[in-house]
Parts: sequence; structure tokens; C-alpha cells
Amino acid sequence: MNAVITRVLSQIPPLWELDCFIAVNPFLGWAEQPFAQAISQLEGVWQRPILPDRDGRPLLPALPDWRMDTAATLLGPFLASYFDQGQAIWPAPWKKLPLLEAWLSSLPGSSGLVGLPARRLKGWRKQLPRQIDAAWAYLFEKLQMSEAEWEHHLQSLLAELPGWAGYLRRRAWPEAPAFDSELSTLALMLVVVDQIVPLKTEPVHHQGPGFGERLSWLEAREARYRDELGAISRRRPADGPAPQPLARAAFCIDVRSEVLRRAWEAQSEQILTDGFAGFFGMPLAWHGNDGTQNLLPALLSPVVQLQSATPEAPRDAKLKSDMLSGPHGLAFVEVGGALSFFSILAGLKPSRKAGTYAGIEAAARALPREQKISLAATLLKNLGWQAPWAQLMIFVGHGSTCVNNPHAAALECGACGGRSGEANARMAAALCNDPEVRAGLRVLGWDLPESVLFLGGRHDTALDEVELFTHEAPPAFGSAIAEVRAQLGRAGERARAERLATFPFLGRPAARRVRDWAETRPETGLAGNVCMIVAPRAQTRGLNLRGQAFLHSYDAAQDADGSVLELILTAPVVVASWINLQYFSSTASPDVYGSGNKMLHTIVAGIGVYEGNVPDLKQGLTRQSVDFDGEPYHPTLRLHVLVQASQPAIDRVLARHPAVRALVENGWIHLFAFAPGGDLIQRTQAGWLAPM
Amino acid sequence: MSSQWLDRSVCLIPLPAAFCLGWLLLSGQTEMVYRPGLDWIYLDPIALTFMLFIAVLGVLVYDFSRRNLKGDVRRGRFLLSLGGTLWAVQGLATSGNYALFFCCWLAMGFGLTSLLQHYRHRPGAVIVAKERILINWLGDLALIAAGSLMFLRFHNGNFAQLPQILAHQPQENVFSIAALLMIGALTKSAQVPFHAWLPRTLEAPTPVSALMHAGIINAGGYLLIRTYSLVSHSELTLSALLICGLISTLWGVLAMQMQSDVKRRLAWSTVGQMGFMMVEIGAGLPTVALLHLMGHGFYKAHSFLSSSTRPPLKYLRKAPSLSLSLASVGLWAGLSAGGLALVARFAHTHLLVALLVAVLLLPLIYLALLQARFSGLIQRLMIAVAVGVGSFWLGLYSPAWFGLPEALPTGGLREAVLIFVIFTFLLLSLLVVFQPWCQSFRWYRQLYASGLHGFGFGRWPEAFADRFFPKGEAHL
Repeated sequence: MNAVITRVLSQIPPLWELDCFIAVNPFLGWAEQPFAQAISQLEGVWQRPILPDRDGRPLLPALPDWRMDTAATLLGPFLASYFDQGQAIWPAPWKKLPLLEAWLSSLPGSSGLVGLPARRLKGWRKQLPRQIDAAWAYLFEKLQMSEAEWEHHLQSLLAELPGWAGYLRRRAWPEAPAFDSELSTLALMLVVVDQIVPLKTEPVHHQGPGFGERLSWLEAREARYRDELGAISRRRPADGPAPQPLARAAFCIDVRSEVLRRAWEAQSEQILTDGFAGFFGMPLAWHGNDGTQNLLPALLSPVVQLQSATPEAPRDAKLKSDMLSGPHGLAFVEVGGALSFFSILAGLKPSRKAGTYAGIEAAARALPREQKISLAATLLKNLGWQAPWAQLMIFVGHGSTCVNNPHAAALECGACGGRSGEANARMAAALCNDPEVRAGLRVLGWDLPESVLFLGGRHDTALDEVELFTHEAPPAFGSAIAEVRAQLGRAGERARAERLATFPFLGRPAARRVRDWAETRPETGLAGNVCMIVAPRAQTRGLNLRGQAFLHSYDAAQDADGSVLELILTAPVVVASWINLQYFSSTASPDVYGSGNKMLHTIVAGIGVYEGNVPDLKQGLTRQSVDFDGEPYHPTLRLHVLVQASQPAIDRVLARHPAVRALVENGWIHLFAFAPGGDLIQRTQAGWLAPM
Repeated sequence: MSSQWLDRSVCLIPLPAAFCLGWLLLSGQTEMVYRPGLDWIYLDPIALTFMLFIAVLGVLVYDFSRRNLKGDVRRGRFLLSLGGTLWAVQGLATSGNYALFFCCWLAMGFGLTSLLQHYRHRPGAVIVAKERILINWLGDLALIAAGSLMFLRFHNGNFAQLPQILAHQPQENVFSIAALLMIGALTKSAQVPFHAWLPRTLEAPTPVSALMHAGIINAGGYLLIRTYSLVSHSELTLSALLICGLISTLWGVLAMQMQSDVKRRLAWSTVGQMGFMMVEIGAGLPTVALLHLMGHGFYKAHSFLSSSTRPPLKYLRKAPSLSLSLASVGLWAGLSAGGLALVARFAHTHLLVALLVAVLLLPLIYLALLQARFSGLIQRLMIAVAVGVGSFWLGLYSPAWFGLPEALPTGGLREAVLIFVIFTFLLLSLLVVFQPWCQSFRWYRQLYASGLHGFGFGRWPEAFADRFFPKGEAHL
């Protein structure tokens, strides 16, 4: 029985807090099943269509949904008060108790108000054991259901409160949800409440209307898209003497980098760019003045801890909010409230602070020598960077500028835990410039001359501006830096124009959008992501991929043992699939998997947002991130991963990593290898298909 | 094309206000009555203030919405409703007689209904709109009754002539009218027991919340200020208003402490603030209520429009010690005793106002003492003193600016009620200071648990909603 519970709980996708709101694959627990089978089951669990219609638009239920959100109404306010990170003015008195006990102690005051009959509740409060395992045992005894019934029952109950369940899954992340975890307690609370007030009607386990038809439409659209991809693999990169490069830059694999990289490369033959996971292999936790930031993918845990060198007392930003809450606020508002008029006139300012990561270079250099060398060597190996070196080697992380946007973290770098990638880029550059490290690298085979400088940079994806961190650069590199800056300036202009042409509804120049506190689409994020290309940049250089492709540089010739390929297929490809499936689900089924309408969001407990009156956290992307005027602007296609590596090499990785193999074979992503003739061969459950 | 026109129509909203302001400035009068047959327009400093306030606020909110709702399928319709509602409030502010006032009142209600149901496919939006309509009907009935009585008894509903007429009326004649007006105001300003729809209007777009909490909700207060010469004629009504305002203030202020989502906290704060506005009117300070209404309006509009910014989190600060709390109560007692002595020496008629202000300042001084650093402490103490002196000064001098007689109670029922109100506020302030030590008490847990749900009571109109409305979007 315990196994049933942990199995159901592990199907809950985690939901990250707003300050590190990263993309999550909402089908995380279902990847072991084939795509079609899992989705059809989920349509039954949610009682909603998930696959889109013929044109990739969400298939909305014919009638508006008049369901009551009973579970959220009964448990949401309590959960918000229990997990509140400090938004309520008075903390809840039961915050220090264990979850189950806290809930039971809150019931006498609130049960009557939310419609739980007090008499039936009393019996439960008396008899329910306070230990989680004892409580479950009590329920098993009392309810007498078979394992399969329990599984369906729990699935449908947890579907009534997906946001809070996801948040509790995240609190235990990355561990699998245990039998006595908070998530398990929540499931137990739902079972108890369901005994008192039935939370849902008869469970109907069937898929939505026209499922088979919708599935074939999806496949047809993907087949049409696949035809376009052939152009990439059949392309023969231009041979010829490569000019001495001026700069070589590594960008994040993010689809937004593609536009800028293409625009920059078009400026000069002497520019080379590569794609790499945006944290540049720096598993970093930064302890700054505003608390700790984990700047690495959610699948990893930090190895390097860096401390801000200039600790300053946290400024008391709460003066105003303190003054305004409570009875004294009445007098305060009367005297000072009218001053808010000027605040409304001024709007809000983008909150990015310039000096957030000040001193990170020095902190990185202070790490132990061996650790520094191994970090730098691993990075260079995985990037495949070797002589001939360019004068400037640049790591470009990315971040975004926006204002008054609870989901700002969703626009930042997902590989850096939903924050700007500038810290990792600067750390990587500082390590590679460190003489101590260079001496160590020389022993390992990377001979970096004095005439090579590494730089960190930050690509602002909303503004398409690149900021280079050159405060430690020797003056000798001044002219090269100036030229790169000029080129990046022109490239940015081109990229901005291209984005406005791709998404004409954005309407205004980026510089005005990102500073407007009324703007709900400061940028379009990763909308449009449908493919990932793992190949040398030469294969795609000059090709207009319209900002739809994750680009990871990979040269199979340099990777004899396949370790780099293994890394790429198990980390960046998985992350890209999470992002793609999040966009897919939020576009195709916004009711179930989307965050809803920004206009209705209210930030709760410092954790997430509610939409309107329903006290359940919302997961996924907002309506505004995928839709304009009722027209979705993200094509709902599954991710197409193109790998320029031999089929046996790929098979070896898949054999070692069942989770990745499940993604591929069950059709959650489409994986292709380049055949020698330039065709694409797809890997499916049945092995490699014949060339298309 | 039409959307371009809509976008630009924002500049039309302040036109009437600018015109009226110009007229008054040029003619050098303080009052203006436009009267072909009836008094259609009545402009005095109160009307002009409210009108300018709504015009400025309206432009700001309209301008925000037109960018905020970009990409929304029903944006054009939304902007039309928003503009229409703003014009109705402008009309409300300048109406010269009760009948016209009531028509604008109705139009404003229609506009708000449409705005609240912008997302008509969301059941939450529709059910709340229905509840609000029911409560509105109650208020409208009260206002119709008040108007009929007014026309029957005085044969006149012109605001400009009310003071002369009332000079010869006995109190009993006025009481029923004043009480009905009060009920109308309580429904419009979401006062207990007509309040529960307000915290549940989160199903409307953010700018609607901003406009509603900052502008439209004030209509109730404006009604009482506009007819103050009539309402103040009945001591009993003013006393009742004090009690109603007190209950709403307590209700709102307590419930807002427990909310962990931004918008609901702001909504409960509005219930409390509106309650305080009613207390001010009941105490006999209508012009202070007018200033409060504007200050609250701008503050609340800003809070709602910026509510998508993640707020700073609070629990990072360590809990204060008991001795610090006692010290702050001591400091507060010393400061307010000194202040009250000063007031008693120079303006003893305003002793009650000074006492009210002093009571409200207790938590502010407590907050000042919580500051660890000395400079922060001084800064906060200065703010506290500035707030105290400022509100007292407003209470003392603002009536003169607006040419309204203040009517602070001197003896009788109302003075007793006012003292009771002040005493209750003192208890509330002490609860705020000593709340960290209440955590383990049973009663505090019960209070907190029910406060999470707004103390429950008040959703009674929901039971009637299904009877009066068919399924689907509600109109009227």
C-alpha cells in the first residue's frame, strides 16, 4: 500500500517558488508510459482535453466550467498561512507544529466558516492518529479499498489541489516523495476532507473527445515540421581557411541566444559562437546581501559556495509597508497617502541591481587550486575549446529585465536556477584567467597564451543588449573589446528588429516595454522552442532558425569516449525537454497546466500566485506568455532533438540512462541522428527508423 | 481604428474637471449652480475636490489598463466600460440635485458590474458580481426611499438649498431620511454586513480593483459628505454611523493582518479604511473624511497597480522582546499625555480628536522602537510624530478650507459613543503591539483561523443569488 502512495506522489511535478520559477515538465511522473497512453489517462484524471486541436490551439471545454474548487477553498487558506514565507503581517500561530497537527488545530476556528460540518469533523479529530504512518494505516483500515482504487482515488484527489501538491513536492526536491513527507500528509488531509465533504463527483476515467484525431493532427504537424529540418542535416559547412578569430563566445543553449548569435556572426567572419548550458559548468551557490541564490540547474546541487565580499546590513525596505498596515495605517494613509500620487506617476523601476555579484571574481580565485583547475578543465573539455584561441574568449550568460512581473524568474536563465547567468559567466572567466589555473591547464594540455583573455558577459534577452564585464581586463585588450562591443551593439539592433518582426504584437521597442509596469509581455521568453541541435556550430552557421532552436555545440570527433555526449543527452537535452513540454502543455491546455491570466494573479505567501479567488497555487506559464488576442504564439510540437553523433554512440548513452531512454522511446521527445548521407534517422521504441 | 480612438480617449476624462476648475478660477466664485429649472450642477470646493481626484485617478488607471490589457480579446469593451464608469463618477461628483445624483449612482453601478464580469467565463467573477448587485439593490432601494421622503417632506432635493431648508426642520423629520442615506452609503462602501463581496472581487483585472478600491468604493462616503448638512441634523444617525464604522474598521484591520495573499489583504484593508472614513463622518469631521478618501485612494491605487511585484518578506526579522513592547507602550503613553496636555491648553474642544489620533499612533511608535539602528529609530519616530501632528492639524483646519461646519459632539449620546470608539481602537492597538505573545492562546488560534476566512459572516447574499439570477452572466 505504501508503494501505491509513493508512486502516486511521485507523479506530482514540483512547483518552484517565484524567485526561482523554472520550467518543469508537468508530465514528470508519467514519462515511463508512452506519450499517447499517458496523455489519454491524464485527460481522464483532469476531465479536460490536453492535446490541442488541428491548428495547435487549446481545445476548451464547450461549456464554462462551474466546478466549485472545494478542495482549494477548504485547504488553500490554511496551507498559505502554514507555508507563508513572511507575507502575512501576523504569522500563523500553528507555523511551528507539524503539518497534520497544525491543520487539526486550525479547524475549530475555521471549519464552520468554510462549510465543514463540525460534528463529523469532531470524530475525525478525535480518532485520527497524529503520526502520518499510523494515520494512513487508520485510513486503510477504515476505507477498505483495493490498491487500484486507492491509486485512482489519490490521483483524482491530488488533481483537485495540484498547485499546493507541487509546492510540497518541491520542498522535498530532489528526493522522491517519502511516505511520511509533507506531500503525503497533504494527500492524507485530502482523503479525510473527502470523507466529510465529497470533493469530487464520480471519477470518470476516460479521455476527452476526439483524442485519436487530435493525436494524429499533432503527428501531422510534427511531420510537416520535420520536413524543414532536413535542410539542416543536408547542409555542408563551407570549407576553407578559417580567419584568425577575434572573439569566440559561449552562449546559453536558450533559443533566445540563437537570434543574437546569428546577428553577431553576420557582422564578421572573425566571430565564433558556441552553445552550452548557461551555468557554464559552475555549480555555484552565491551568498549575497539578499540571501542565498543557487545558480545551477535544478537537477544538480551546488558544489561551490561563494560569499559576497562586501556584506552590508540588509536595508529595511519594509518601512513603508510596516507603517501602512494595522490601525495606525488609518492615520498614516490620511496624512501621507496622497503622496502615492507621485508614485503612480513614476510607475515602478526595473529591480535589477548593478552590484549584485560584485567581487565574485576575487571570491572565485580564492577557491582551492585543484578545484579551480578541475572546474576550468571540465568546462574547456565539454565545450571542446582548443587552439587556435581567439583574442577574446567570452562566456555570455543571460538574464532579463522586466518590472512588476511575479514570473520574472521564468524569463531568466533556467540553467542558473531561474536567475541571471552573469555570475556563472564571470566566475568561469575569472577561473580561466587565473595564472594558477592556466599553469594547471597547461599540464593537462590546454596551452593558453598571454594574448588570450576570458571575459564574462550578460545577454539581456528582453533588450538584446550584451553587457561585458571588463573591469579586470588589462588595457592591452582595449581595442579588441571596443570592437566587440561595437559589433554587439549592431547585432543587438538587428536582433531587436527581428524579434519585433517575428512577434509583431509586441508593438513597442523593447526599451519602452521593459520599463513599463503595466506591460505583461516584456519579451516572449522561449516561445517557439521546437528543436534542439547538438552539432558543431559550423553545421548551422548562417542558417535562420527563427529563434526556435536550442543549440548545443558538440563535435563527435573530439569525444572519443562519448562522455561529452552522455553529459549532453542526460542534462541539457532533459532540461530542454522540460522547457518544451512546459510550453506545450501551457499552450495546449492552459486550464490545467497554465498559470492563468496575469490580470488575475495575486502573489501569495511569497511562494506563488493564485488566479482570482481560487486559493490554489498556479503552475506553468501564464496566458500572456503563450497567447495574444486569443491566438497562441507557441507552436505546440514536441521537441525534435538532432544529434550529430553515430547511432551506436547514442544507443550506448540511452542504455545507461533509462530515464532519458524513456523520454525518447515513449515519444516525449523526438530524437534524430545524422546519417552519413545527410539524412535524419529517428530513434523510436522500435529502434532506428529508416532515413526519411 | 476604433481601438486607436479608444486608446486616445483617455485625454477626455479630465476635461469636465478642468473646465469646472477653470470656470471657478476665472469667475472668482467659490460656488457655482447651474439651474435651468432644477439645480443640475452644483460645484463647491467639495465637489470640485472629488471631481479632480476622480479625474486624475481615472486617467492614471485608464492609461495603465490600456497597456495592461493588450492582447485581451475583450479589451475594447473593457475600456468602454471603464471610461463610462469614470464619466458616471464625474457626474456623481457634480450633480446638483438628488435625482441626478441617483441616476449617476445607478450608472456607476452598471459600469462596475460590467467591469467585474470582464471574465464572464469565470464562475467566481459572476457569482461575486451577483452578490454585489443584490447588495446594490438594497442600497438603491434605501436611496429611493430616502429620495422620496426628501421630496415629500421638503419638496426639494437640491443640494445647494439643503442647509436653508433644514434650518427649520425638527430632528425627527430628518432621522428616517438620514438613516436611509446611511444604509445606501454602507452598501456602496462595502461596510459590514454588506462587505463580503469586496474581498472576493479578485476575479476582475487588476486595474478594476485599483479603480474600485480607490475611487468607486468612496461613493458611499461622498454621498454622506454631500448630504452632510442633512445627515448631521440627526445625532442618532451619526452615532449609528460611528458604530457601523467602528465594526467595519475592526473587521477589516483584523482580517487584513492574517491574509497571506496581496490582493486580499489590500481588499480587507479597504474595508477597514472605509470604516474609518465612516467613523470620521460620524464623529463630525466630514472634510477629514474627504481628505482621507483621497489619500486612501491614491495609496490603494498604487498598491494594486504594483501588486505584481514580489513584496519584501517579513519573518526574517526576529521577534521583539516583551520589555521592548512594554517600553513602547510607556513611551507612547508619555508622548500622548504631553500632546493631550498641549491640546487641552490651547484647543480643548478638539481633545477627542487628539485622543483618537494618539491612540492610532501607538503601533507606529512600537514599530519605531523595533528598529535596531538609532538613525532608523529617529526616522520612524519623526514619521510617527509627523503623522500625529498632521492628522490633528487636518482635523482642526480642513473644515475651514471647505466651508463646512464641523460638528464635533459636545455631550450626549454621540460623545459617549465616540469615547467608546476611541477606547476600542486603543484595545486594537494594544493587540497589535502584544500580538507576538498571543500565539499560544487558544482564543488567538480561533481568531486567526476564522480571520483567514474573513470571519466568515457576510456571504448571505450568495444564498439569494440563484433565486434572482439565471445561470450565466448577470446584468444590471
